[in-house]
Amino acid sequence: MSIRTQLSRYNVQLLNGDVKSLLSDSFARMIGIGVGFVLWSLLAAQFPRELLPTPIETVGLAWGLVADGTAWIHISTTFQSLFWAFLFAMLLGGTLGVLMGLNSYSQNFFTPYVNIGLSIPGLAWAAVAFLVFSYGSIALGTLRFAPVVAATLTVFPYVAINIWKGVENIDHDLLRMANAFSISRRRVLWRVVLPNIAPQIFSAVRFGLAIGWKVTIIAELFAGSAGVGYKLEHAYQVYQYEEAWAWAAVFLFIIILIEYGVFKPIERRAFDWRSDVELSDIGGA
Amino acid sequence: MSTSQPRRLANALPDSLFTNRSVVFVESIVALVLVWSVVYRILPPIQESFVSPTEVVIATQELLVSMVWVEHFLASLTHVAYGFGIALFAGTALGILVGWWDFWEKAFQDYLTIGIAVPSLFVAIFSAMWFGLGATTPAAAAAIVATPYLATNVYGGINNIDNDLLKMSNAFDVSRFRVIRRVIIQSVLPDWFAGLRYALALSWKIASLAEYIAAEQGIGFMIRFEMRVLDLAGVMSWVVFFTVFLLFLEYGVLAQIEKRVFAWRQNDSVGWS
Amino acid sequence: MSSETSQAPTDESLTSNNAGSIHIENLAKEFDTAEGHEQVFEDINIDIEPESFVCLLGKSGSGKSTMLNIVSGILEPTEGQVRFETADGSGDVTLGHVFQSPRLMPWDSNLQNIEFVNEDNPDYTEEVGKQHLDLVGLSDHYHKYPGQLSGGQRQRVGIARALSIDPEVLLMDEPFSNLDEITAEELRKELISLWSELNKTVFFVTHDMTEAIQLADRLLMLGDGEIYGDLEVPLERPRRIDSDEFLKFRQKAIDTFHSIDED
Repeated sequence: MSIRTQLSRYNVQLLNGDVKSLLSDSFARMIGIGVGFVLWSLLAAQFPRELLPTPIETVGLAWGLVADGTAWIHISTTFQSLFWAFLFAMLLGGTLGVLMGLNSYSQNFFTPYVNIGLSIPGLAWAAVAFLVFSYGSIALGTLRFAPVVAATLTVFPYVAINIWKGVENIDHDLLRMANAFSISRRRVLWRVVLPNIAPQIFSAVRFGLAIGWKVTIIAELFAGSAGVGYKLEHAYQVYQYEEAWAWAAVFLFIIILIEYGVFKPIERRAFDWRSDVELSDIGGA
Repeated sequence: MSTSQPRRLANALPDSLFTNRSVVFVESIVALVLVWSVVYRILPPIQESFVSPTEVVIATQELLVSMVWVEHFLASLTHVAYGFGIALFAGTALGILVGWWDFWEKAFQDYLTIGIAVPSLFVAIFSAMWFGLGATTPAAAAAIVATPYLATNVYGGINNIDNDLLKMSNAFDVSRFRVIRRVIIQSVLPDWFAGLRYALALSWKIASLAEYIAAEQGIGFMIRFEMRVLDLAGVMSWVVFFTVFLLFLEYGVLAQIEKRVFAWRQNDSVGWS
Repeated sequence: MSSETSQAPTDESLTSNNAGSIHIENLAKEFDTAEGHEQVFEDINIDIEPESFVCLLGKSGSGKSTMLNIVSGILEPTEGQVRFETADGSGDVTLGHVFQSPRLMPWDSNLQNIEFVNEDNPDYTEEVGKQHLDLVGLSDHYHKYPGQLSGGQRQRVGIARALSIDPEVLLMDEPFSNLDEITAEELRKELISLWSELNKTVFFVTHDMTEAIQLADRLLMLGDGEIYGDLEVPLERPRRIDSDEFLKFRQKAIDTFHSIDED
């Protein structure tokens, strides 16, 4: 229920109230998508095809990438880097976050790293990692070090902040209760501590993946041979703008799949004991 | 909260070494530089491609003395001013629209979700495709990326307004205008400012990214220039310049404003000042 | 197991243990502070009979919580000891705790909250958990979360949780002080009814004299580092707080309670 609906008693009659009763949520959503579709088509009609293809042309272009297997090759390269970077960032950020939550010395000691880390752009880490790892050529099999290192270093402060806040806000009354009932440490960890910081772990994962893949793609600007970022830069350099659109469409599909197929359902279900999941707070972190 | 320092060691040294925030801050920075120097010294293979802290300090000093930074800093500042300015208006308006009307909430919330999830490189490259070399590309990229973040914060702020306060206002027959001014705007302002803070830092990062891809001036453009000549110390001097400036903006300016203006709000959400 | 005043539905399986007795012997506690040692109390001796209901009264700062924490084993005494005796002679006692705030885990359902403390209980089944929720009148709330309950209902879950581990001694730390008076009154009556059913020894800390007289067989008053008042409550149950005997005894108890103020 929106604030406006709450406030509606100030006005005798609000059109909105009536409209709301007529339109279901999904209808409003369809309108939103429809308006976007029409605007895009109208704009596309004004511009040359390569600058802005129509929605349907874009889907066709994207299908071309998927059908000939190109999409898979480059997306799997990107995801491979992302996987390792995410893992390292969770380990590094998680360790710092737990330490910062547990004692004030670690908190004061590591806070500068986290703050400085938050201010360094992903592009900077990508550029530095590229130069340090012999112009991006140092690799383990097909896995290049530079994008992994760049993404790890960009992401870890976001993970650390979330975990830190979680550990710091653990309910000490519950720990005392568990102590009074002589519950084992293992059980306390699994049943009290982890569920207590689960929302923060979830947002660390979410933030980690969201920022991680943005930086991985930026780092692939320099990668030279594979990855979505590389293909995008290449398409731009050789003026194959249509290909850039195709990649955008493929990516949009993946984003929608992950957001609506994975994150939103977890968000809704996993924390149904909480009356208020304030993910908007995390947006400001 | 207790420190995990061994007791004997802790007793032998002054307490301030472990408790005073400024002292610990210095320890933290010194530790970082020490680890960096030691790794650089003891791993010869790294020395070919890596740089020592001293080299970075010298390069940064040269950069500052040469005054080259003035031109590019001002260029970036202009790009960010336009981009962030647009995001400020667009993001606030969109956030109010989505937070206030149920219909637009349902219609536009998917766009916000996707807007936040879209990789920034896509935005930068498409801006470059449309606007080419010049100041428009970084400004547009910064505006497009920052807008959904600010909108989401405003939207969240409106959603989290305390219903009890609205009920109270209703019970006292407070006029609608007065409620909007005294309850609603006051409640949303902290979230708006937090969003603004994040969006401003983001604008700088995205503007630099777009400058890297297509611009003739700006910090991002200079990072590209130094990369062309494979000068790692040069790249890092610009990174240091950029980061120190952003830290100053975040903690020296915006955090101080936040602390004064929202003093009534004893929040622990941003304890990392 | 006797059941002379049967109201709540009880089950044979709910009480297999007998009540234990508590023996507090030569107990002293001091804390190290910046200025030196601070003596909370010393030379405390109390024997609490099995199946009795004892209230410990004291003003804030009198050391009630310290005493309770020592009895529950969370704090170590500086001198002396707390000994328990059980019917089997082992002295190996199970303590049930009810706290001032219920301390329930918001992410676990009521049933899961009860299951949580039955870690080492091989006989625990979901049925046992449900029986204990039935006992406190929450038959319709097995799978609800604490956040969906009222304050009184949450404290009922807290009581059910403490009883579920089949304790010989129930330790209660001002469990009703955060509730409104009507709810607290309701819970007091139910607690008395449960106590007379289940025959637990109850050690109950409070600062509310009326509550203490309503509940207890015996009042202990802690202040100035000693037990300065130790009164048997000579009232028949059920007790009416507006009866003449109640009011008369209450006045006597209050006089005793304030007897240390004049010094």
